[in-house]
Amino acid sequence: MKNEIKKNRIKFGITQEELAEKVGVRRETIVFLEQGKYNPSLKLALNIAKELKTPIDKLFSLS
Amino acid sequence: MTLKTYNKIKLGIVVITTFIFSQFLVLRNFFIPIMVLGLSSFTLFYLRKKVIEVVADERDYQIGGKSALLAIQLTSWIGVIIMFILYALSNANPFYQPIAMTLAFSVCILMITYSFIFKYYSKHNPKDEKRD
Repeated sequence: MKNEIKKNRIKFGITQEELAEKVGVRRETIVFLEQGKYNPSLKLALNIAKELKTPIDKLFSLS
Repeated sequence: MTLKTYNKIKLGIVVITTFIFSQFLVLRNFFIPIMVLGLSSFTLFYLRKKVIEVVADERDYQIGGKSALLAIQLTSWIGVIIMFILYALSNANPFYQPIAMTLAFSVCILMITYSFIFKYYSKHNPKDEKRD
């Protein structure tokens, strides 16, 4: 699964730590998500999409 | 309190508890080890509540689940293999038989407990409800 988390996070000017705190996970989880090494739960994906103000289908896609 | 500080304190408490526990067991004193174990568990529980950061998230729970399953499988296989070896050697030394029996029952209890907990969580999943 591909994602555009890093691109959108940088666009909004927030750090990995800030995003992790907002969605209630550890910073390491955001690192693994951005590297495509971890597939999030639907709840986490929705929370990230909400925080980055991006539709979920624009943020995540099947590779 | 930060997660880093909590982990350092936890490590210290575990080391001290293990030392006291083993020393008093050698001296055949059972009251102090139980008290120390209870006190350290309570302290760790209290300190965990004081941590402001996220201690564990969904990725940790996923890794924990996989690790637990692998640990159970490995323990069971090792237990079964050692049990057969001890049974085979029990003719030479009869003291091996109770050890083999204990191992066999331990493995059975482990597998049964795992199956019951798995079945319970597959129906209820209370941990997820708690986290939400």
